[in-house]
Amino acid sequence: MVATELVNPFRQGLRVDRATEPCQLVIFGASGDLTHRKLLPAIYNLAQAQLLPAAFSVTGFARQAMDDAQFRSLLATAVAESGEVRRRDQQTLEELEQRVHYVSGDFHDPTAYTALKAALERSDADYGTGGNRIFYIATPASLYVDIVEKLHAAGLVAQHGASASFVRVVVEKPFGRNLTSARSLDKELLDYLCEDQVYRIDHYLGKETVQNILVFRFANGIFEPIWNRRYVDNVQITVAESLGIESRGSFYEETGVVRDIIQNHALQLMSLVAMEPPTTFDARDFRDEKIRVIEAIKPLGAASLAQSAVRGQYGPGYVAGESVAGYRQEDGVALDSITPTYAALRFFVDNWRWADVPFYVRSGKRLPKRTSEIAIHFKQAPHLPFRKTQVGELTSNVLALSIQPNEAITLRFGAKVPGPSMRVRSVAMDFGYGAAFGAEESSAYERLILDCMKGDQTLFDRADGVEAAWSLLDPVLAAWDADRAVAFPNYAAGTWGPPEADRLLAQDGRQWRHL
Amino acid sequence: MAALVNVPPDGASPDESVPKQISVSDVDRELDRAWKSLAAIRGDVMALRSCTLNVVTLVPDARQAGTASSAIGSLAAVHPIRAITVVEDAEAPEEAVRAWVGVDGSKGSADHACGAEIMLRAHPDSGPRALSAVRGLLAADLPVALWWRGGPPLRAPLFASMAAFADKIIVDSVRFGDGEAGLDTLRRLIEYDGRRAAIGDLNWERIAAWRLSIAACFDHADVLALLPELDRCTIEFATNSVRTTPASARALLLAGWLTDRVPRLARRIRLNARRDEHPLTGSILRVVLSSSNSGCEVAVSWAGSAEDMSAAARGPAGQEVRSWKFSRDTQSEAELLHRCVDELARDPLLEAALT
Repeated sequence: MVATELVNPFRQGLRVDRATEPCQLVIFGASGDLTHRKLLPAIYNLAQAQLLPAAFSVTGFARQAMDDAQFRSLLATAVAESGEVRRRDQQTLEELEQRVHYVSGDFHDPTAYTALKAALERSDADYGTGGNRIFYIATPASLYVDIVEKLHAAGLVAQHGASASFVRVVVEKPFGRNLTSARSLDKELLDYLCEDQVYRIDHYLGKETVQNILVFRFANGIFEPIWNRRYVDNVQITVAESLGIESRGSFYEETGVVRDIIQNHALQLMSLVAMEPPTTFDARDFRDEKIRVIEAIKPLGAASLAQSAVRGQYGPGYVAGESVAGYRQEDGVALDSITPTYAALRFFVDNWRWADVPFYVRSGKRLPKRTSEIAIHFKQAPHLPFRKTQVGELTSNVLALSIQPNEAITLRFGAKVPGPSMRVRSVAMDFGYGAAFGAEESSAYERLILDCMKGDQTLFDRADGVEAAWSLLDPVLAAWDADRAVAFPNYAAGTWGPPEADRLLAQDGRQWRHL
Repeated sequence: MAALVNVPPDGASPDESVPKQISVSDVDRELDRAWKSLAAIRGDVMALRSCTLNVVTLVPDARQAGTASSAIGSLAAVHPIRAITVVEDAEAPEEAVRAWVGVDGSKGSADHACGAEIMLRAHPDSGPRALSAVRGLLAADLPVALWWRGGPPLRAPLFASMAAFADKIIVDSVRFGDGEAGLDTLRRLIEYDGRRAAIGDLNWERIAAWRLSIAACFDHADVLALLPELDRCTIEFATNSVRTTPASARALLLAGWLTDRVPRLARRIRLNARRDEHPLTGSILRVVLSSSNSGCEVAVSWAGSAEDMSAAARGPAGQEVRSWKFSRDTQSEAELLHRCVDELARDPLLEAALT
């Protein structure tokens, strides 16, 4: 006899695929910048949208001495100051404040975790959260393992299945600083947790417009047939920032642009553009396809590095009319630093769909503007039948998917210039994401925190995905670390990177899209 | 045909608009002018505007035009729509349909262009004129949601003519009379014109929180394991009548949904009216799924007003398996309308609940 799995008949057909269960959200690093700028406003927005479970509480944990009242005041300030809060509503704030607590303690001190455990058990009793806990570790990555180990020692973390309630742990990028350290981090986390309890956040995946890439590709019949080497000439992915490193000099010295942006955000975008359609959008199928793309990228060996990778570091210059310092003049940065603040790479995806189509990926600090986009450059029309018109007069069709700051889809195509002669000029047709859907979109953190509460890992990184990205980039990092004879700075702040980046495309007869 | 159009004079804000009489055929031109004026005032990219849906609202009672307009305004804040509201007004001249138009870029978030709103005031006997005006004003190649904001519509000539081009017809069945009579009209609407248009019902959306809460209870494996035991159900609803009360339409709809989901509950659902001070007669107060053989039970309750909903599941010996609190959602007409417009396809759950 075959046992039939029971399915909840009441859930079928409802718009909400799964309700959030009662839970406590515990934030490590509760007095930090990420908590203030992103996490607390996101939690407030979820409360305002009535998306939190009725049985819910937040407990902040950090070294800084603070009581509940002070942490609640920090919540109120974060809500007041955040540009991401859509509607400020005093009643929602007051109701949320009643469910917010704080425990002060050293991350390395076992007794602090005993105090935390007592506080969480009190909250379980007060709010009916049933022992369900999400530990959001918003601290430097060097603390991840220690915190999880201490949680385990205090009996706050049990592997999935060992208890009726759930425990999930959220960690922020960077997940390691190379393949070896990423593997080591995973191994140590998985000594105490199962993979399905670890939620690795790359907030880019929580952005509506990033998810819209999937809808654009897989919910529209007209694009997928041309989404391949037959029609696509090249793909350009840009993640540009106009800001410098702010006050994070020592952090950035250890990180650099490849670890900060390319290894995660940029490769996430590339995998969404290049992936095959998953069978379903459940966590396993979706992440399998994403990882397959990264694994299919041709490795950048030492021989091809010079033709495929460019690094840069900004010097003094002007951004938005303001004079700005060079990287080596920033606080916490060595005067002879060779940390790259700019990288441009050319990848090839070795599979049937993308063979020989270059994917150019660039990211940098102190570029002229903050913008992230994916531009699909299509092949030119093979022949123009209009007299006295040259194919060369036309630029190719480009489909640009803008991620930030303006979420939009733009199609560039040729149109006849009005008048008696047959002249063709490129025009852009814009679709403004915000203009079509007036509803204010939720922030990436809202979406991801909510998914974590639902136990949906689709938009979170999986260990093998992180490792595949490091495997790809480790040779680049190793080669650049070994070669210190680099003429930095090699681009002025406020420009689009070093001249070598232009040459990277020029060698293929192409150029970067003007943004 | 004459139309009165409110558009801001050049350089003025839309609020300072001065009505002037134009023909209905000039509405689009005037709307375009209004957009440009707004863009000039704001100095931004208001020229970038989009439209995803036509919403045609029929208001059979002129006194309710303001309330309907307010709900539509709220809808326009999150859906860039072309809203055409037709108000039946016995005072309006038969030979003309009068129009007021406006654009609103202020209700959405920054830089979001929102909808155009056109209000037509038509004499009840000028149906063909109103119809022709609406037809000419619909944004091309976009779906049409028709919101009928009145009583039973099936004998209303204006409804019949406008329903012909609607992709979705939205009603509030509570306006058809509570109880079976209201649901009967809803059933006939679903079958209307060979089931051509999808039907949305605000009253069905009022019980969405109950459906979600009941579903959430059974998301938990321990509670789902009790389901095979549960073979009967009681639904309590509020009444403020001292006399015999017809069953609440909301209770009937919920009973229909429960029966569709768990067919063995058919004819085993009892509806109990409970005298309550609660101002909203017909509101559901408590749903209990129980077992005739054991102490298994899943009960969801609402104490009214701003209270959360609470729920508890009990095992065979009556022991508590689990308890919950669920947020009660808002019940404003605008919010219910949003939900109906969010999904333009048929609602198979509603249709099944009515069979």
